[in-house]
Parts: sequence; structure tokens; C-alpha cells
Amino acid sequence: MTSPWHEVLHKIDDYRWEIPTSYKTGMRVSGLVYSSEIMLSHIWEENVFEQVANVAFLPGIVGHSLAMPDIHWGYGFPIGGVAAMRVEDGVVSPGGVGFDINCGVRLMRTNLTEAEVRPKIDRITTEVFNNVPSGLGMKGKLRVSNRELDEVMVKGSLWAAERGYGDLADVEATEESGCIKGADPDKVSGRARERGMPQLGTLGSGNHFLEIQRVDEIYDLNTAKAMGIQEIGQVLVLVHSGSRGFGHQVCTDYVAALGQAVRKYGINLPDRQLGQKVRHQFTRPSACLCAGEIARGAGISGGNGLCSELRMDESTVHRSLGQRVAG
Amino acid sequence: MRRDFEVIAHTADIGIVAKGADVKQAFANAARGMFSIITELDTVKEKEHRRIEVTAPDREALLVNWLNELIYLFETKEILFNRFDVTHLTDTELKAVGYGEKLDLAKHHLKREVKAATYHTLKIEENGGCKVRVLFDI
Repeated sequence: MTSPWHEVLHKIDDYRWEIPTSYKTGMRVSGLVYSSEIMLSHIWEENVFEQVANVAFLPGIVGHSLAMPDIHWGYGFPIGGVAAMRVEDGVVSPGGVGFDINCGVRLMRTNLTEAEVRPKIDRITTEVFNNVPSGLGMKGKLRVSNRELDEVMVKGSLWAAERGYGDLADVEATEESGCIKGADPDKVSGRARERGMPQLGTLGSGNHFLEIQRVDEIYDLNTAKAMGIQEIGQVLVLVHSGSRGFGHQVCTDYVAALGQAVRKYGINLPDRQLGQKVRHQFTRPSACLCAGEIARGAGISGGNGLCSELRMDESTVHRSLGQRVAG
Repeated sequence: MRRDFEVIAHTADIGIVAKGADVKQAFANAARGMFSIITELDTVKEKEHRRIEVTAPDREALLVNWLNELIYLFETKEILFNRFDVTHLTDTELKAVGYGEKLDLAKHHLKREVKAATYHTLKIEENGGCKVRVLFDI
């Protein structure tokens, strides 16, 4: 039996599938999906190959429009989509970064076992609820000034460590130290600050969560060991948070301000959601605005990772690598 | 009660389809629909009002900006709205008055965090009346 995706995808090997540029007129590069054949059936149901192909329309895209194995339907960009852009003629599409800029998960190891934790789980959960502000309408316990917020944007996790919410080892275990070089807080609107400030140090709601987990199975001993995971039944804490209203407002501001950039530069895109998020070309004077903006969101989110008042031993790679700007 | 809007679900997203006799009403009902996702509208009293002005390059962007403006007001000024009068509307400009009250967590149950209105499958249809469709990032 022929699967429906055989008409769209060219099999390269067991885990790589190409979407040729002939799939849609206007694709500048081909799409490349990393997936097993079993997973393809799930991906197919989401119709997400359309989005992978749409990303290939973006000016300046290098190599392929990439799809990671966790690919699923997003806004303009698929979640789990990756694209590199040339500096000279590329564009920044925040759809590739995600509105919740630099959201991610952190895994924290404990030296406790399930047998020790389970009898006390009610007390532990209560303590977590008391100490980790989460849910709608919740404000953080942290109060920062505008100037301090600038520092959070620039320093990311280091800012949190300096405030005593972690130590340098935690910062080292965070991707990019929880910030991105080149952040310029002056480019962040007052609105983004207003939304961001009360939320600093909060977990968030929706798909943000904190879970107390136990190790069920170890697949790769060496990797597990490097992460400090030693035995079945060991208790771990997994946190998913992000830049919340701050990141969203940064994107919202630029979507509104630069909505006409696509028309202005005559860029042909199949999906307005993608188009609306296309930013100035890098070579334009205000080009790095958005790139810097995104860097800033990353700082806030990095800070949030540490401010949940829990210590981390290891960070894990999040589902979405997002768009990386390549030189 | 007349159903001026309907909440719709799309995979992991949530959105609304709102109707009105004209575009103004449809935009007002879309905003009301959005707040019905955030909280129970019945619990929101009309204790205060706020004037809201939004501009955009075109009508679709105006709808998105209008809803994003309300999300901003809710998140930073902590106002829940229950009703809207869109008093002026062109393709690029909207003026409205929103009626509602300050968020009180003892009284208002917040159901969902709406982070942004998106262009994803956005539709504005005018056929006698007006029907709009918006999905939210939650």
C-alpha cells in the first residue's frame, strides 16, 4: 500500500525525507523532514508539510527548510521548524522563534527516590504551589525596576544567579546562558515591559507547567549519567516556561509596526501569518531591531527558568529549535 | 439570548466566529467572544468604561490589533470587559468604548490565558451582515 506522503516526500534514507522545490511554485529551497516512517503518519495528519514548504518561500533561506521530528502545526512556521537565513538578503520571521520567545523546558535532578517522595507528595505539591507563582492572573514575588529589567534582558540566567536564585553552574547548564548576545533593551516597548515586569519569576499557565517526575526507564546510560540521572525511580522536576506576555508583546508590536514590510519589499509568501512576521531585511538600518528584540525576549525567558526558585542540574533541548540566524 | 459569537476549537488552538449586522458589531462581538474564553462573562459587571482607539494598515490587521489591544489592557490594567460599542470604523481605524470592571480573583474565575490574536485562518466576510473568524494563541 502506498502512503499518501509518498507523493509529496522523496525518501533519502530511513530518517530523512525531502520536499522538493517542485512541490510548490515559489519555494526557494527544498524541505527536509527528519522523521521515522511511523512518525510520518502522525505528521501527515496535521498537514504540516504545507508549512514546511511555506517557510521555503522566505527570502535568503539557506540549505533547506528543516523539520525536526517533533514537527507540528504552528503559526506561519511549523513548531519544530528550523531555517537559516543569509545576513545579506535574509529576513527574520518571529514565527520561527515562536511568540513565547525562548520558551523551553528544564530538567532538574534531585537525589531523592520515588519511595522517599511519594508519602510526602501532598506536602511537596502544596509547597510548590505556594512558592512558584503560576496560573492566570498570578503575579511574581519579584519586583524589578525598569533598569533592572534591562539587566534581565541582557544577562538572562546570570541575572537570576546574581540575585541568588541559582549559581554559576546553573547558568552554564542553560542554553546560551539563558540570553542571546546583542540584546538591546532600548528597542523594547513600554508595553512589553508593562506585560513582562509583573510576570517575571512566574511559571505561567496554559501549556506551561512544573512536573515532579520519576525516572521510568534509562535508554542511554552514558547520557543519563552526564545528566546526573542514575537510577530508575529517581525523582526529577521538569519545568516548562517562557517569556510569557513579554515575548508576545514584543512580537505583537513588531507585527503591527512592520506589517507592510512584505509588500514594501515585494516578497511573495503563501501565508499571511508567515508574511506578517517577516521583518526587515538585515541590511536595512532597522534590520537588527527584530533580531535584537528576539534576543531580549530570550533573556527574560532565561531569567524565568531560574526564578522559579528551584535549582537545575541540567537543561534539555526544547521541542523547538526555532529560527537561527546564520552568518 | 441571541448567539453573537461561537467559540471554536482547532487542534491546540481556540478561536471565535462572531457575527453582526455590520462590521462594527461583528468586531464588538469578536471582542466579547474573546473575553468569554478568558472568563465567565456573566460575572463581569459594567462598572467602568474605557475609550479605545486602534489603527492598522488594513481591515484584517485592524481586527487583530483591536483584539491584541484588549489583551494588553486586560493584562496590564487588569480590566475585564463584558460589552463593547464600536463607534467608528474604517479599514484602517477603529474607535470603541469597552464596558467592564477591574479583575477581582475572588470573584472572577479566569479560564484561559489568551496571549495573542493571530492571522491564522483569519476571515472577515461581508454578505449582508458580517462574520469574522479569529484564532488565538493560548
